[in-house]
Amino acid sequence: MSPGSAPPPRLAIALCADFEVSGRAEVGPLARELERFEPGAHVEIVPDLCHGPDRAADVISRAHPDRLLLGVCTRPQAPHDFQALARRAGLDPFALEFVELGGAPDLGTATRIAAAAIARLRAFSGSRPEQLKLRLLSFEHKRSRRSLFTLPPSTYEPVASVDRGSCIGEERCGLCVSACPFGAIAIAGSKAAVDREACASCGVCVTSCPAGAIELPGASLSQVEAEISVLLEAEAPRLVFACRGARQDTTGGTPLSAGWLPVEVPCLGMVTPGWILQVLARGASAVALLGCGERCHSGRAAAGGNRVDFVRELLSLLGETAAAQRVSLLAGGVEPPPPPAAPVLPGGARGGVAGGGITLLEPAATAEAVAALAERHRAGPDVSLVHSGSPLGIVSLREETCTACGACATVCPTGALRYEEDAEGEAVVSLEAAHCIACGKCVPACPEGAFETLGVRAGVELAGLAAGRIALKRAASARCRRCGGAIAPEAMLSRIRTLLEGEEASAPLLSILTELCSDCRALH
Amino acid sequence: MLGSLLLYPDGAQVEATTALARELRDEAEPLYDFPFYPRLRSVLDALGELTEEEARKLEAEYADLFVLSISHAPCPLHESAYVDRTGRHGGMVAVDVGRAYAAAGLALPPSAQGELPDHAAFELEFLSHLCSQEAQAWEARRPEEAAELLRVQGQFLDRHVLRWFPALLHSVSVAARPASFYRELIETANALAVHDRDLAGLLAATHSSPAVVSVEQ
Repeated sequence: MSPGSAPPPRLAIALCADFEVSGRAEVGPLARELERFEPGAHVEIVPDLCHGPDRAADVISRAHPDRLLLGVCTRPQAPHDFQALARRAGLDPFALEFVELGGAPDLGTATRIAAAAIARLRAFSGSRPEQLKLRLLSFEHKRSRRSLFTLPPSTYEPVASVDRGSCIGEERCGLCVSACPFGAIAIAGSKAAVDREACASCGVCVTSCPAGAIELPGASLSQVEAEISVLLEAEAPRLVFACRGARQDTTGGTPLSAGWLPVEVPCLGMVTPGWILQVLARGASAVALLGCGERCHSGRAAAGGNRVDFVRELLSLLGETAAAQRVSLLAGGVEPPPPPAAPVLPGGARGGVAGGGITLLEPAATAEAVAALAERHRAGPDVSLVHSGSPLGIVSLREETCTACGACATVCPTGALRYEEDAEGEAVVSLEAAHCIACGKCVPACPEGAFETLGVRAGVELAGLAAGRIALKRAASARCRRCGGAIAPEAMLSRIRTLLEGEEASAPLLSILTELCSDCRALH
Repeated sequence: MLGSLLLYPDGAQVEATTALARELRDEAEPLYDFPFYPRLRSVLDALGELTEEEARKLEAEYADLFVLSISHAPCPLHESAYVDRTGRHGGMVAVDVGRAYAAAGLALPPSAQGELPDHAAFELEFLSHLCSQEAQAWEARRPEEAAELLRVQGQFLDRHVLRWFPALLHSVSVAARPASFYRELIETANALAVHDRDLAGLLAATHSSPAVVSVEQ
């Protein structure tokens, strides 16, 4: 009754017949290019598409698509009308996307932008009921829910949702809760849950989650990755991550006319340093962040500046001489600067990341890109930067006061800190610097905090990243006098002895704790 | 209708719901605007074209998923099975649901044959009843009463249906075969419940809006 395995979604692409480049009609060649890019898609040139939702409805009735891309000269004033028509044809509310092609400086750029939008739409896996937020557009219409004929016109906005299976949960993470600018995420039943009414669809939570457990339809990591991958196929492209609000402010497709390829995001707060570094490492010659300035509804404008500052400083340390020109932060309505002419990387403009697709999930995005850029620039292992904008952390541990109890590892959300026993029976606390997100959860968890045993700073150390997993502390384990099994690290027991020393009443307890393992204690 | 589909699909039950499905499919145009409609349409199509053989399979699938053994059904259709931390069947959850019905002047009919009030079929039927009452209130120009009914619907969805339908859907997704009618049905019911919560909330919140001046006759 329902399909066992879903067939690939059918894609239709409608292009406004009025599309032109520098006054010359170019819609025919554009359609042919897109047919080559996406064989099997229904590509159609539609007169007056920009102003007529009905025209889009005609395309739907002819092609019966699951995904619909509308290539328009300028974004329509009432996109909700298009969405409503698509919904009535059975399309997912977010399976329709606009790509604004007006102002493209040449056919190649327009084709690249449209192809990237196709890739983004292709990567859309469909929305779930909890990812839809209904909004009634007007109450001036008559209403009666029973008849359903008279509901006010409505639209649907995307809402972030948490995959509870992947969510790390309250005890070790909760980063999304503190990251959400709108207080829309809380812990429910030990896992994160989104308050759909409070969610403003900014997407900040999507990139705050180290497990990739949060998805926002239209701005999921897989969709943005697919889009960027296509844009990066251009020769030394210049990418502008543009806040949706800011893009709507810039008239006439300003970023396009300056030769920049846009990647639209719901909010600039979603763009992490790893995103910027990834595209630079993969061959982009420049990256700009176009925010909405003081009107920013998420209040993340300052964070954007801090991130750009971090990337610039890091690039300079790695040996990039024009870091400030490569990465820029812009406010709404401001045109990106003329891009630098020289390629960002020595040895050619193309990427420095070997194989595989682009990854935007932190901290892997930053760690992988930094390693690639360091290799390209032949940067020495002594490069080190402490900066609050860094998505990575630098962990320091005082070996002489650490008891190897492993409390830090139990709260580490990414598994950067790990506690295990090695083959010789030694307790080992180890660190994988590339996994550390500088959340600092391990610091208060350390029982030896009074000695400042453990410290975490946001920053990057090339040597640490290159080293892979390293042991921070090794300690011999005390053995159970009854069964010979491991009790706990000797250093930890020694610390307990020191604490309880001289307390006669504690002597029996101390004896049990330090001489028997947990299994044998139960039998004692 | 979705609620009645979650009762045991014996001959009479299937006959009644398939007839209703055909009728609803022909009159569903006003529902086209809602994102849950494609799912609903799939359910209606499956029901409308149900053969005798398929009806028998439906009965077998229902038994496999929901009945096998009351305490060990893979996907119990009772709220208490998902939200009662003591694991008690019925218990305070069923009592609380029963109170909600009683507050609306309703009780389970004798034909329920001892079934508990927290069964999915009754919870959905209760919402359908409230929706019908609300529509009558709008049409009789009693907006205060309609708003109160919307509030009750929202509350019932929050306190009961939406507390466990996602878990029920998860259970069915795991236990059912890929092309399962009941999987599709629970998906539809869950999508409708989520959507209706939004709609009830929005309509209730804007009840006193000065823009609301006209009510459909």
